[in-house]
Amino acid sequence: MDGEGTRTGDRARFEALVLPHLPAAYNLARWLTRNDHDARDVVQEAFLRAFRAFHGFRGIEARPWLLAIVRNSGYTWLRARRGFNAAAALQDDDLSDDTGRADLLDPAEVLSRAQDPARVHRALEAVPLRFREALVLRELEELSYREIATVLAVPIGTVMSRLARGRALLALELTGPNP
Amino acid sequence: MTGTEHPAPASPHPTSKALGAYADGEGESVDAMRIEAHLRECAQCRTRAETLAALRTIAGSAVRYDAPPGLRDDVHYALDGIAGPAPRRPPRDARAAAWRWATGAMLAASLGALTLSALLVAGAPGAEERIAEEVTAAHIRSQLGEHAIDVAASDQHVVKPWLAQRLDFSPEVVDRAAQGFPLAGARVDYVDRRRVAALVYRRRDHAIDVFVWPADARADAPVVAAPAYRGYHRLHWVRDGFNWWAVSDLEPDELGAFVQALGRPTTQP
Repeated sequence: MDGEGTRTGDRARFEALVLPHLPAAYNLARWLTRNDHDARDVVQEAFLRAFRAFHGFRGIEARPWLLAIVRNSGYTWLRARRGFNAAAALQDDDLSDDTGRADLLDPAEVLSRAQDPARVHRALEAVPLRFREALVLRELEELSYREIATVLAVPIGTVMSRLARGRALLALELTGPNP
Repeated sequence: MTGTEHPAPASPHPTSKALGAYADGEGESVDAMRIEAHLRECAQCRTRAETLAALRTIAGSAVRYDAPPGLRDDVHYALDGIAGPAPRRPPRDARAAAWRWATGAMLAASLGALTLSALLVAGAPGAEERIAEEVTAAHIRSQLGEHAIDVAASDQHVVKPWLAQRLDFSPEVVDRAAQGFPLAGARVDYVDRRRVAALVYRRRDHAIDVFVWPADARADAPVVAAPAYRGYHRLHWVRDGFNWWAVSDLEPDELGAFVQALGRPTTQP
């Protein structure tokens, strides 16, 4: 195959394997950047990066592969526009354990606070980035732990702790005083 | 918390990490058997597990943002710039519209389910509602853990005797692969204060549980839908002296088609 043919083949393969995950890419970007305009930029940038890297892509799971690129593009954007300190935002070692407090919550109470969708939305937005992204990948995109580990580039054990802490923080946000 | 009413459990409480992984069905990472054994003896951890289940439902009901209609085109144009034009392009406006509709419907469905769950919590359940809750809880539990199926077989001649050995009754077991609902296996579950047969069928990546146990009334009863509960649909009927309950997160139409297929006379050789 000549260069032109390879490129056309790549484009077709890319459209078939990667482009269908645009909704997941946008949702993740939107929850990372918290606004529509930036999420669109991040998604476009991510698809360009993905296409450039695609020729070497031999994996079978395009979705976590693409979402990892979306996440990296999102962090690049956060660093550039906000003086955002990714290292600080992603440190895991300062975790005071809120999961213990969340264990004491009454399930009916948690559920009753969740009747207001706007409140659930605000509560999830208030969860710090490193836990929010794990929750979004798990609960909204329904990725497996292994896929989340791929996207976040962390071991599965870390996925487990981020989700446990994220859920505890979400519960505490929900049952806290009305914002 | 009512820890004082219960004796201290013999096994250590699972960590939140382990309990969460168990609830997510990520059983490879943790010892699911140990956690299940612990949950049987520890009311406190059962409450933790319930809170966790509630939280998973809640987080899942947060908005999944819709990709804006023009974004797919923007991505295409950007790719054209570095990759040359695409071989061919599907009508994207139609797809975007379909997607918007689908996510809107999903959101509406999840909000409806939340409102309904409030009603279910508030109302004192009658027998039918109680059983509807029990079979739904049994279905969800089976999907959370690794015990969806105790005997994995698509052959009704394997499943039926397996159940007969473990129950004091022997329900009809049929495969409906020809109609698109293959039998995946069965387990014994506990509903309405007794051991019941749970037949497990598949539809794409969805599971359908069919709970069967002897009915008090001998007369057949037609198929009735219990109110949907957080995206789970329940249909129940009485046939040949057995109570039948079908539970799944399939769309109601598909679950209805399944129940119809189930009721058809067996055409096996």
